[in-house]
Amino acid sequence: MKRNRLGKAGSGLAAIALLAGMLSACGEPDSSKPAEGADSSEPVQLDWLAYNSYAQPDPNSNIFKMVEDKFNAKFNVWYVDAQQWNDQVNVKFAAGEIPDVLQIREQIPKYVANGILAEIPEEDIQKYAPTYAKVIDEYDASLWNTVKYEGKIYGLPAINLNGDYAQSTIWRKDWLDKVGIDKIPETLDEFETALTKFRNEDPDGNGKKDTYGMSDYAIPYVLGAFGMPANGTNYVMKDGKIEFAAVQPEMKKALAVLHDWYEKELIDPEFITGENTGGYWADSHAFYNNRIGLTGNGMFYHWRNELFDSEDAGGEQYQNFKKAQPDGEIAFGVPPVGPDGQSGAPQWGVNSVPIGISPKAAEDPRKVELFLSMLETSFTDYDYYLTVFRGEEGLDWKKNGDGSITKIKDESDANASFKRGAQVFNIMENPAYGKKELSKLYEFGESVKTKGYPPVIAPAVDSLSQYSGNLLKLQEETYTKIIIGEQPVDSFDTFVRNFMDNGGSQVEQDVNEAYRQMVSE
Amino acid sequence: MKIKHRSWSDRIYVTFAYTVLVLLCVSIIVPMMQVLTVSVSPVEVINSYGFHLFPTKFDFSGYQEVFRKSIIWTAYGNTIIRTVLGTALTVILTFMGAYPLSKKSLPHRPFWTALIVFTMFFSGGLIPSYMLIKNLGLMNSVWALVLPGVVSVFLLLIVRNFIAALPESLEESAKIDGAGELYILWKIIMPLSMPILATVSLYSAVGHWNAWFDSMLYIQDEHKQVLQLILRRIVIDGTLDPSSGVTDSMDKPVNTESMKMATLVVSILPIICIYPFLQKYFVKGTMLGSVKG
Amino acid sequence: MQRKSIALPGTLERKSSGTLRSYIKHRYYFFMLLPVLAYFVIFHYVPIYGVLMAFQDFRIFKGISGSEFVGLKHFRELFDGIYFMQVLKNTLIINAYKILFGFPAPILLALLINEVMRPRFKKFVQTISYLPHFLSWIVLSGIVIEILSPSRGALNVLLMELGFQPVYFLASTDWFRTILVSTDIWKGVGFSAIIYLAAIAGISPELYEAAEVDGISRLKKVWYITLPSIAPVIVIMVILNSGSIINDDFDQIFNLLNTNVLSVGDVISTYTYTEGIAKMNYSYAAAVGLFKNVIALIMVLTANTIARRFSDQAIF
Repeated sequence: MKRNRLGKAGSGLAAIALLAGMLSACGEPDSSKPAEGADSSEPVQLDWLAYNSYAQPDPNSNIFKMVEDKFNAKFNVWYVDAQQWNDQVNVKFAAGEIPDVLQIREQIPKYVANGILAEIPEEDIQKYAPTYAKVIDEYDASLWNTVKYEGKIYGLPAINLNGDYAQSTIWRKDWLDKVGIDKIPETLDEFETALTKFRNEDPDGNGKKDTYGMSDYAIPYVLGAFGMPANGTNYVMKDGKIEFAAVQPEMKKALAVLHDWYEKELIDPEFITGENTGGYWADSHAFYNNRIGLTGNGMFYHWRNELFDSEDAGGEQYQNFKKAQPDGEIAFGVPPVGPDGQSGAPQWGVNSVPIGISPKAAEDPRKVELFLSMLETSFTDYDYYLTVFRGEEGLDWKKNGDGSITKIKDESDANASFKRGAQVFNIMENPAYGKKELSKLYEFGESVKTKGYPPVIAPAVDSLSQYSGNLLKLQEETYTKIIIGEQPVDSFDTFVRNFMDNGGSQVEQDVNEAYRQMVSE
Repeated sequence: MKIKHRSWSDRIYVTFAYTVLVLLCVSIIVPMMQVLTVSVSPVEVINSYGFHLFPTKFDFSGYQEVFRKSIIWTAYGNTIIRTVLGTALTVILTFMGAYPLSKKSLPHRPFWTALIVFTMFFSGGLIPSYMLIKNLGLMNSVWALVLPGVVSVFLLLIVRNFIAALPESLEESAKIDGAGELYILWKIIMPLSMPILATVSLYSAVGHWNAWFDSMLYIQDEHKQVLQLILRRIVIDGTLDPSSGVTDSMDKPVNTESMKMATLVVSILPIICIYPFLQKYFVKGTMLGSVKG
Repeated sequence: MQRKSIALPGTLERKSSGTLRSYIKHRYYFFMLLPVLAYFVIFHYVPIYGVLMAFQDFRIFKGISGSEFVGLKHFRELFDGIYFMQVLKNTLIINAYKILFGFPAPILLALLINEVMRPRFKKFVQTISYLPHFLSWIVLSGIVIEILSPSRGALNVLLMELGFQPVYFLASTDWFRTILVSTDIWKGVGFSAIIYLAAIAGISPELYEAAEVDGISRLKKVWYITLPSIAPVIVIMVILNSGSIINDDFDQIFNLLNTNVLSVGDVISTYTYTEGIAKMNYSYAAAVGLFKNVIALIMVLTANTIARRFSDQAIF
């Protein structure tokens, strides 16, 4: 064991000597597999972590066999805990276990600094995955910025189709009817009127004054009426400069409104412990229990109230709501329009978890080619895509006449398709195919789409990770205290000074510097 | 015991004892009822506000789902194996460490004790430990779950002090009778230590039963993972929203609360049943009597 | 092997030969001890080199042997944070309360259980009281939130029945620590009591029989027989528990914490949670760990010294 450690030390030093600025030269020190000179007809071995790892797939499944035959490859698929991903893989990485292809769930500079990621040359992407590159270019070319570090591409951007849709604004339609509002509220004033009536006119008809307007999930929507849903350390783009959203003067106005609403009892005082009191994050127990009449945070597919066929019961949260309030009705609304005409709900943004390759994979051109070809195929071959993404035809899904699919639910095991190898090799979702396979769902999504604020795409900087803990805490605490009146609204100015003095200015300076470099490349 | 007349202060004290114990039990049973009720209730009941002490509507789909999930039963087996193996080794090794250290005549006793106690405070952290397990070739095996924590300093010290506090007269009289060291160890010390060894086995068994982090780190194969890890995965699943960095997919099935609670109930029942079996070792003085007799 | 390395250097020959004899005399004890010592060396002393990471900028491809040393940089980063003092204070206060109230609780419970003469009820109480130990805070936090809800929680309904104003316990800076301490005691008291029950079971019945003859009351028996007899266990538990002043319960606090009580409830583990290994700040995590360990060690050594001065019971 001791010898082993010394061996590691030696090769580690050797790696540093080799380094000389070239990060790609220093792969895993004790990797002994001969990369070059292998027989080209031999299957390519890939250590694979480019998937969500929802369940451990069976390496003898048909999908594995199909993909392995098709690409003359052999996969060693890692299984890691999907919820504690970083806790687990970061220990493995530190112990020198690094896969060939992986999801990048950490800031790219950190992975690069630790020698986990290698550059993916642009000409390779163009050569082996031209369709993919074109899709990204057309969808949102700025996605390439998210994977660049010092001008080089260290990952392949992935698209989150749902990130195109803002989080939903959900009203109790039956309550609106009850208090005599027939138009879904659109402006901040109309929101206030509706919420006031919810509070005062006993919309649930139980004779008690126990209803409120909204709780914590709708707060970002009110902030959005003033130009940005400030949350923790998220950014806003102002005149081409990146700034923290939380310290903008507009937010002071927004907090004044929220405080006013809190005083008028439009906001459930228990918003501090949250309207979700456990379980799946998109559930709103306060909404299910006739406590509030406006909620948000969830997506259109959570709250879908348009039924596609007789067996369909709608989105999961809609179903939960209907089970709790069989006579209740919901309506999709829009985020409130503020005094300056701004509005929007929080939005996840289209960039999903990017995929990268490690230095040991970059050394072997066959591995790079294989991985990029797999990606390309899932962007050009619909049936292949369906199989690697959805599972086996006939077992996990069946195809409809228009090319869309109907999922077959396995009653005995909800994870059955993952075990059969679905969502392992698709690498990332293809937005066009995604919309094609679930055409009805996305048509519905379009029909209730509202304005949203996608996150500002900014490079990661070290100072942010150093200060984010403090900044986050400062923001959360101040906002809550101002809303409930434990601090005056004017204390916002002190908060801004504190925020900027304790790392805020430093981060803004660093991030803009890095942004200029990123854009000018 | 024959107590004819209870004094006034005795009565107050006993009443106080019973009152406190009953209140404590109530405060525990009530939340447990909630867990049990949720495990057999449909979603509309679970999502409704208030306390659910008794089921109003029954829905056993949670249990059905648990019993169909083969991975839970594989994990059950793994947990039992590690618990039995780990507890047996812990009891043996803890005793082997505690007995010599309980001897006041042992040379450099404080040094040997300190050597062990200091490990409580200086750990190299996760990464060197992971490398160690890897280099020892224990990855993906039950030994990776059993060996790293096989002796707990805490339990060792407790046992050491327990043995040290045993009446020396017993040992001395045995020596006068010509008993050897082994005889004393086996026939006197061991039986007298039963209460504390029962405690060690219980603490160790419970520790093994509840552990999940080591299984997550050292076991790559889902079929070798332990129950608590599977349980944790089921319970946490979906509780964090995507802004916290967890990926959320609309393709991923969401576990129902009733299923989560059903898994919880299924996973804690056996370990709870162990305690009453061990309780006979906690009955005052029985062991001492048997040795002397 | 140990004999030589420990006994010989720098000692007088006469004394060393005495020590040697003592080692030979106790050889069987050392044969017994050897596997245990081997375990501690392999699993605890070999990986200890990881402490070095706290003083480095650890980079994976360089390893511990190759990473650059940066001295106390990560400790400074920890100490210089604007909230560090507040968070440290919270940690110490919450844990001090937990020790102050949480330490005697299982002793009291064990004593009370010991008074129960009906074996069935005794078994029942023991089994029920240790049940909460098996529930994780993820599950318990939902129940706690529900019980303490100002509008519908059982506790507040009771308060309102009695004519008081409802209290939003979990969002109140005055109450939050009380909630943490009391739920912590509730969860762990039954499990911790087991050790004292075992200690009580080890008391020689002769002592009680003698007291019986004298007609001593139960309370006096507890005071003059039971407590002195389990004092060694109590002392060792005090010493070992003193180290927990710095070890906060992440799962509990993380699941109950909210933005209104950060000033009284945020502790080291929740504060450093956003950093650490999950964010690849290996060295920072190591520094936080080392800092906590040093504090714990100082506490335990202090407690041990005090214990040795005032009683004949101590760890070493």
